[in-house]
Amino acid sequence: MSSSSTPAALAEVLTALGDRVAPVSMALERTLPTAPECAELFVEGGLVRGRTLSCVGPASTTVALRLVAGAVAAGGWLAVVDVPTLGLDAASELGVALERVVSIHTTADQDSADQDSVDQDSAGVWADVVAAAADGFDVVLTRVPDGVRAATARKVATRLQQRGVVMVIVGDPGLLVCDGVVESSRQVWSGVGAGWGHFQHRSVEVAATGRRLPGRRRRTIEFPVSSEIAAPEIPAQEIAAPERSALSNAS
Amino acid sequence: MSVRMLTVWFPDWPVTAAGFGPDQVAAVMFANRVVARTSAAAAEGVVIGQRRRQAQRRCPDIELIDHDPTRDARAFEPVVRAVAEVSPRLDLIEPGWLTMAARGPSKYFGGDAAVAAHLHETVATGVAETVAADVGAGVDVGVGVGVADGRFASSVAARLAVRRRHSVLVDAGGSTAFCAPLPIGWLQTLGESDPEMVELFVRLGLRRLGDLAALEPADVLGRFGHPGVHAHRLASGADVRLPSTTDPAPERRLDQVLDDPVAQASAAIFVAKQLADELTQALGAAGRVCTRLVVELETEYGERSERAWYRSAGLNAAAMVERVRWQLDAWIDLPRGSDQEITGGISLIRLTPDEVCADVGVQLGLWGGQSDADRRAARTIARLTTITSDAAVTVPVWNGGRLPADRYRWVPASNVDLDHPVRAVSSAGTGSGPSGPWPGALPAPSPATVFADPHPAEVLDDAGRPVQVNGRGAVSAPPAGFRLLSGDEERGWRRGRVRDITAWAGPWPVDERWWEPGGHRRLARFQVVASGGGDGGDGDGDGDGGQRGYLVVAEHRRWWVAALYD
Repeated sequence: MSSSSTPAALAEVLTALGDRVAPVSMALERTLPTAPECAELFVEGGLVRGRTLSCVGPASTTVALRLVAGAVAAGGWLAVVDVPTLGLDAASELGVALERVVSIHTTADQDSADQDSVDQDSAGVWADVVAAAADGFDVVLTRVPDGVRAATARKVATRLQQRGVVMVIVGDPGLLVCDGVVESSRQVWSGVGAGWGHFQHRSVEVAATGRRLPGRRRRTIEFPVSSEIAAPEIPAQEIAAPERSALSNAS
Repeated sequence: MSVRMLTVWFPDWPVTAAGFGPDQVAAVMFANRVVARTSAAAAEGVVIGQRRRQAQRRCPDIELIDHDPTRDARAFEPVVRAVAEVSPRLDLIEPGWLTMAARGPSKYFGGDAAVAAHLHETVATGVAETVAADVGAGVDVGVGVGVADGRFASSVAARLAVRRRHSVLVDAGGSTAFCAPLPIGWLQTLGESDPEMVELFVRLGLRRLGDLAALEPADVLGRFGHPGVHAHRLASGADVRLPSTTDPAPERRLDQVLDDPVAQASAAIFVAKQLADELTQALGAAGRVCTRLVVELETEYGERSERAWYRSAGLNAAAMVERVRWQLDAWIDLPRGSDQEITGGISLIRLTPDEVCADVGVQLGLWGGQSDADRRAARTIARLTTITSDAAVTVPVWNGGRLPADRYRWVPASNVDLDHPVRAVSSAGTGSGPSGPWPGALPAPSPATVFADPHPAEVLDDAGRPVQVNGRGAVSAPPAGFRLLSGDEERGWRRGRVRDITAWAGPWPVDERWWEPGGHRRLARFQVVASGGGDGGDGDGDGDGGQRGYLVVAEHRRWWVAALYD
């Protein structure tokens, strides 16, 4: 045995191991796990069940996928409502287990002449679908359609809160009141120049604000990040691997 | 030496229990799959395990009924009573399938053939009278009676009897020879081995039960462990339990006398659940599992119902409770005036483990397998399908391709077996690595927004002229800006605001499926970074949004935005 396995060091490793093998927080717990770099955005260190978050900014979809990846990796199911453009390759790279992703389209056809009534109608279906999805899924990723009334939005929010489902909205939340807004900004791409290279890295400044989040928490996230989120690394290894999700305090 | 057993088996009992005759087209569904169907439906090509939609496609006017084990058990009660006239000591395996020791009745009736013929007649007429009454008299409800040494052989014989339309009797000591030429799939059909094990046997060339029986038991144990030995023992015509392992059941009879007789079935079931939990815990602590359970129910007026339930894999607490429920439901459902009709509340529930054996254990999947979340999701998916439509609820399936939009397909969730542990959903799942078989696909990171129908766009050079890509993949001028187009070509494009391109890479030409007239695509891909300003259109750009990444494609002399790296 080398000197590194002193009782203190051993205890540290054991604590880390204990955290690693600790049961996944499910229904009874208050938070869903999220990726480590996203966890720092929230005081609770995870996505609090029943909350609604909206992602805006130039990297909104990527950040949204990264937010939900931890919960899906831990065995939760993700309902994607009305985001038909979701890039599954990106989702997979960001750590979302595609085996537990189900997509639901509520806007089947919009050929009707009366656009306004179609909006109202599709908003109603959207609310029904989200409410039904809340029964069986742990996370809902959605875009809010036009024409959702304030009353419908409130009902949806209540339902999600009852069921303890986290809803992550990509883009404009409309009249839906969000508990937190995760805003991405100052996106910088690297790896590409004037006619050479290809997209390799980007750094995105992400800030979480909102009525349930005390203060404004700001982080710079470097993408691509490691997709190993189900099992957080033991600290010693994290130091040894510099290319892993380098987190820094930008503010 | 195996005990001589007689088995009575009804093919597709759930449809018979639901009141359908063999000439009606009907099937019983569970979890979107056929679990039983009438012979008329079978003739149309409806097979067990088929999906709902396939069954409906084969046979559009098929009647689909939901699976209800309790209904099956209720309908089976008259049969059990008829058979109990012949021999009181019978084991129910599941509704539609029971076995009993054959020696006593055989001696009484004068031979196996006589008792089999007698049972066939009483049971078939009894069923035709009660269950199939609304179907029409004289309908021949298929029933198989088989006699052989050992439970497995006699169950196989009963199933063959249905096919051969007469009782199958295997001579004493002839079970080994009887089993030897049969396909090894019988182990799976009777639920004795899991499909993986049977598939493995077949892959190893053990296609018949005799092939497996010819192996040395020690070798089988060494290679396949206890499940293998179990299969080997059955294949050799021996009964599940070796005489040497037959030890007297520990006196673990558990009963609960209810001072307040309960009139509700659910309350009685609740008591039974506690007893079953206690019993399985006590047996489990001794490393044992109950394979034959006797359930006794008694009412305050002394009416009794006693049934023995058998399950070769062992009964866990949930299975015990289920059997109590079946028995209780069947009892409550008895017609007025019949013998031992229930008239009062239940005052005694007794569970007796009649046969216990060492629990060799079933290794549950550490990964895969179904979690509670999976089951909830499966239920919700079914519900969502009813709110929207079959086509609207989809799951991703790996497809492969060079363009982001080609790489995954969305297929209706109702067509996919969500329980399957390894669905070929991710590129990793196909064992071909992310970029493996698709040279020329763009490397990671991938775009987070992929348009199935690309947006038309215009890419401009310094002087505001459109950039062109020639057939050799050369660019006429470095792209300096691009703008989105909306509207359509005939009425003229509405041009969006020009975004400055700060960095770009490409072109990466793709010339794929040139051998296929309809599928030929020739295009060049570019990755471009447009600076700040947001896109105004969404209204969420606030000026310092930073750089935005786009995947732009030149095809048919036009430009398209195929994906966003947002």
